[in-house]
Amino acid sequence: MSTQTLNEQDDTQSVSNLAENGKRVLVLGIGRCGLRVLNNLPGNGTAPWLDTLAIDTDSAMLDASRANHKINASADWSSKTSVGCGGDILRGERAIYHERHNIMSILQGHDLLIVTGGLGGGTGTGGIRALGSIAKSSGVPSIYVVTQPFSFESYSRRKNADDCVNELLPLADVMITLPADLLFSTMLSANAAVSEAYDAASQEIAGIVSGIAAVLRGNEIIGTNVATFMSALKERKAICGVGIGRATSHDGLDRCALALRRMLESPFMGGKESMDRTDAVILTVIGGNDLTIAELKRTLELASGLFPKNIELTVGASTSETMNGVIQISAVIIKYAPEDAPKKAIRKSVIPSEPVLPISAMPQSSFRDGPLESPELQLQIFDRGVFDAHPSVRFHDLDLDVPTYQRRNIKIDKGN
Amino acid sequence: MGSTNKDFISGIEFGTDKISVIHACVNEKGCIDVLSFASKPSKRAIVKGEIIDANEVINILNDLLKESEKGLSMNFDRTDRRVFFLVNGMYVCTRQGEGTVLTGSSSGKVTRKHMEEAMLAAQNIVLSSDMQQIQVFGSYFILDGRKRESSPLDKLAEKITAHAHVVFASKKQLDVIQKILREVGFERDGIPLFSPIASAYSLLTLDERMQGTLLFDFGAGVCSYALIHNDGVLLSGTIPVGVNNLANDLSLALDLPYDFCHTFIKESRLTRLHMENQNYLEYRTEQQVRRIPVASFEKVMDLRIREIFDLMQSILGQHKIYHNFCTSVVITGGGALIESAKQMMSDVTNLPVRVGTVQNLSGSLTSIRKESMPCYSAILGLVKEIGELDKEDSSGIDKLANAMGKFGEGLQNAFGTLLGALKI
Repeated sequence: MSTQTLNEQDDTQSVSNLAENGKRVLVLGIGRCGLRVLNNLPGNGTAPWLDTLAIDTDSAMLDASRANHKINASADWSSKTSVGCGGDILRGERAIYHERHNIMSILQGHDLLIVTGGLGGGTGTGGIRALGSIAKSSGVPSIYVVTQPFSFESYSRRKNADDCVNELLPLADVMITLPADLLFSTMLSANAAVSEAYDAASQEIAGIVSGIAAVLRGNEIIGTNVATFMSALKERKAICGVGIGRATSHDGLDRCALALRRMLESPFMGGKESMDRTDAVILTVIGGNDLTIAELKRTLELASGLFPKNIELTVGASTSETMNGVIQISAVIIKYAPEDAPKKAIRKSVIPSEPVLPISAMPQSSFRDGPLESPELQLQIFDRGVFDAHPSVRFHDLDLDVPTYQRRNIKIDKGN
Repeated sequence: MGSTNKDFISGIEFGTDKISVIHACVNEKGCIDVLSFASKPSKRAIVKGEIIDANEVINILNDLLKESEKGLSMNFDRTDRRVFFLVNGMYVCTRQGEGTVLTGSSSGKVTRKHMEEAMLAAQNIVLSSDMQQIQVFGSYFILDGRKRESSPLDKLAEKITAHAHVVFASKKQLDVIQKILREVGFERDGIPLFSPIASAYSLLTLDERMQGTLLFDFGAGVCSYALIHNDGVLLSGTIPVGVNNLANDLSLALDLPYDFCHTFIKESRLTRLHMENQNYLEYRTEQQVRRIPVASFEKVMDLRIREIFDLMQSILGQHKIYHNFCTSVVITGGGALIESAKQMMSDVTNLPVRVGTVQNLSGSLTSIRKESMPCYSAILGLVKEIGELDKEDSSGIDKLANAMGKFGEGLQNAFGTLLGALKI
């Protein structure tokens, strides 16, 4: 196998210099789920280019974390106790904003921020919302790898998670939302313990975070930078699946096919069904200096062939000295929410889907069935404040005198 | 007439936040000298650019005129003066007009007469009886249906199509303003100018006007915009939301008095809290002391500002071709001084953004702090625009005013002056 170097940069750089010459990535874990992910990062996050920061409102959880930096955010300003925020999103948000200055000072000197956490709870949901604003003002590109609650978790947690995604979309550069239920598709059996489900999720997400960091840190051959992810995911609501497959030269002759198979078997990939229903895919290959053009070509051709033809497929390749002897194939599959899906021409049928019945054939109701009840509409009361006395002026179907947060039903912390 | 100085310019701005009066002139070197300037809060007599309490406006305007005339070293006789005033609000509408003329000349060249006729045809827009045309700006010409030109004079073509940007306003509102001007002593009708276009021609550099720049005036009552490309106006309009809505949002969201929130925004207190690394604001009332997270202020303001810019972006998106002609954005007005506004506009539009202030003005501007200059861009832009136009037409402001006043009648001489003035 020929070792044709694709990278035109200086090959004499040693691994130990990567901290100075390469991009520095900060992986920030927030809340219980985020801290578990940090603890499961391959190599415990000890790579010289990787920094880890753990933030939680629960000091006991933080003590068990192995992150480089820790911030113990207090949800209660008056007592400064750190026993969590009890699932209250506003308290979680307030706690993180309180640590704004510390977070910004740790962010300094990093080229990329990856935030990981679980949505639905107080610290994770509220804290990630706050982090969105803080990261935006710092100017560091930010990628959010967050999980949606399992379907067996309460409706309120799922709603909180959904609301958080809507609020975070304008602030995040890239948002990868992973439904935790995907784990059931390939990995977990019905008899698996609850703790096993959560541990499996943490391990997989840690692998995904590490894989994405490696891709974005590599020396770009074909577009694989933050902008690639941003073009597909910035400000577009989507449910994602991520698959990362790795293989080394020791694993066999055809390391590409092996890495591809492992990628397809990733729990968060969601299986063949997810791949067939996808709207867009970002496919990247990262290897070391020994990655050959033949391997790259074959890998990308094989991987591209797995997805439907009419999707938005973005392909990238990069190399990194830390990946010598290893090939990693990663795929982010994206299913956009209906309002954000690419517009396709739909030919509507002129034939009604349900038959129209003549009046004589319609079921008859009589007054003996009981009095007709008129249901009451639950009208939302909007307060226009100083503009109450003035006639409303509608612009693009919006009454702009009603505050934006009211129209979007966003809760605001009024303090105490 | 009090003064024989033909280059004397008087301007009035009826803004939601303040009413301003300015007197300026063009000096021997051709630069604009501000002779006097006065400004006072509107005291809610004007809402979203529309005058709702004419009596209050008359009182304020009288005070301002007396104050500004004190600063003049000459006798100012209002009876014989023609004043320019800025219009802005939902009662102002704009439309693109199109007019085609066949050249039919033996040489096949486009003459000035063809351009004028095409422009006249472009302005023939049917308006409802309650609207009145106030300004027309050239956008561009198209030769033979395919070649776009900003100055087609002497070019070869069989057919020339002029695209004009026509501004019209509600007659009722204009009548209210003219009555107010008469009440304060101006016997001649004032000349209305659309505020964002006045600002655009004074704030944008020639390069920006040629390459395509969006001017966004983030005002107190309304936001207005103008897209200039190849020195012609492609798009302009108003969005009925402004800094006052921001204050209202904060007031409702955080249970604070509206005036407190208005002052909070005006004095950039959020920036100060950030610089001091404060996480909360202490608000004291008689009964209690409240601690309100700074993040809540940020969130409410960011939601509203982003929505405004998203609306601007969607307007550009509706006029699909205009979106391609916008290479940068200049924001001005009081809202441009908000800390996150410039960055947010850049994020939403993916274009370079700068804050615009009027340059190359001298004279009596001591009452305006340098940091607050964007708040006065419109009124300063008015004098700069009129002053610059007058430089090109040596017949003086009065003749230009007459030309604009007779514009609707389409007299050839008047239009000839206007064509030269509008740099078509």
